[in-house]
Amino acid sequence: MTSSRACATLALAFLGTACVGPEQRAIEAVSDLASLRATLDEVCADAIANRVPARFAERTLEKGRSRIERDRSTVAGLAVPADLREGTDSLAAAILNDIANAIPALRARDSAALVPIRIRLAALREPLEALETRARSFAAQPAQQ
Amino acid sequence: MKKALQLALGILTAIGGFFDIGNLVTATQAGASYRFQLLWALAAGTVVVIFLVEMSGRFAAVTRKSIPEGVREHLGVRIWIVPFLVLILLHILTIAAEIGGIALALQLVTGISFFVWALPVGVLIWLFLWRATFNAIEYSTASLGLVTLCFVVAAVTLHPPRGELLAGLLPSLPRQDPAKYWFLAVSIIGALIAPYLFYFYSSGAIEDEWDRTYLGVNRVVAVVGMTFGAVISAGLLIVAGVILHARGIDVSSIEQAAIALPAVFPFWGYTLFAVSLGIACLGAALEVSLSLAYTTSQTFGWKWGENLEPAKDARFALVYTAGILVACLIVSLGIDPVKITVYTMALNAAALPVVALPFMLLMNDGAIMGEHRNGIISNIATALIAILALVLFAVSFPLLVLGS
Repeated sequence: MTSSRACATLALAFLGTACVGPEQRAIEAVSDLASLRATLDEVCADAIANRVPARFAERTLEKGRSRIERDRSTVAGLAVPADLREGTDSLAAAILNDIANAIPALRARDSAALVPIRIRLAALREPLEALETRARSFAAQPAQQ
Repeated sequence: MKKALQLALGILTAIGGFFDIGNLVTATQAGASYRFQLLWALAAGTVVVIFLVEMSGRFAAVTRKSIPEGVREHLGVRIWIVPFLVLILLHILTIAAEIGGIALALQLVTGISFFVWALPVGVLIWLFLWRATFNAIEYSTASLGLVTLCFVVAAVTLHPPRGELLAGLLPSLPRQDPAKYWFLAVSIIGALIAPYLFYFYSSGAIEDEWDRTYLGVNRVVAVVGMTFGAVISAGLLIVAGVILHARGIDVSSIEQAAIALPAVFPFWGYTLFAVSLGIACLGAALEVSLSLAYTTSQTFGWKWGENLEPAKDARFALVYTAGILVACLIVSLGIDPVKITVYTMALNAAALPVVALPFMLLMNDGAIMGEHRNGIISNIATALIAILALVLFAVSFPLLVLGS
């Protein structure tokens, strides 16, 4: 009896945690976007300081591009507030624009051209943090919004 | 003199052979996402792996039998069927993760996608197993694996705050993403207590012809080797905590993990990371493939031993050949090895009660182990972690899978 009750409790916990809605997906996509911005910023800094091979930096940026596009389309397809969706879209577009400029600079080994890109990427940190906070507040109270 | 040499080699093997893609991925993710807050999971897993490895070596030295042979003879075949099937699944997934790790290291160096490397890497591992003896495999990969000490050097160089490190050794609640936090805790424990580790260790003790006179050596190797091995994982967690967490980088790809080391070792850090990943995974892939062949052959009572010519234990060689082939196919499908690793490590932890139970029964049987049977402390420590891992897995796994 005790063991069957324990199994039932465990099963309920399992089912309860399995209910994942758009809120959680939005948080994950926005967090990933913020993490990717930080990654690209760091890789550009490493490339400028010659801490990593330029080809590695270039490949990391290429991979980051496809993940940013995926995160952007994930949020676009979710039932989330318009400001969250639009904010994600515009910030993702800004990062993608920086990647598009950074890749030719890396190919040309032009460190000077990477400096303004880094500055722009750094400037996106705060808006992304605000967006992440927005996604979390939406997840906390989705019904009221 | 011979024992002293074996002791030194045993410790070297434990340190160099301990670290694999499971430790690398989970420690980096934990440090990047939660700084030093998950050090307690590393400490808890290390305590249990010390107990498990010591027990498996003790069992081999006292009985001169492998664990599957012992279960079959003393507890019957029935009790072994489920653990055996679970072990086969975990071994194959782990081989896939390790092959994926080598392939990712090659991807970092060459830029060619990891799934292209899966088959060539599989052939390399197979050739190594086909041609080399047990000691050649054990000592060469373990010696090369010492390159992973670069993570410890990097951690020391960064001078992490001691108070925060000590606080991390105590379990605490996360400020956000609790499912991810607990799932990572389970994955860290799973990476440390991977079943292949103690099945491989036990079989290795038989290959090295250990007897009761080796009980002291076994104890020292288990405690010192596993502790130093865990220090490498802790070093990487600290590096990721200082470098990646501060920059807001969460690790979900190997490229993100690779940028931790160049901050400490400019330019060479990147190469060191790729080499460490490749070598650690190569050593582990060889060990897990052998462990798969050991476990299967011992279960069915086939002739086994890496020191025999493949023609003399053909079924043993066939098992690791098939295991490597299946693992290669999984990686060739293009499934991200980092994802394979994280989920496999969590499964390792969740499966611990199933795969360790028959072993624990043997270890507590006075008729088999005599005066060397288990004490209450090792039983309680192993049981507590096994139950904790299972419960945490059951709660955090569905949320994480469906969330992503």
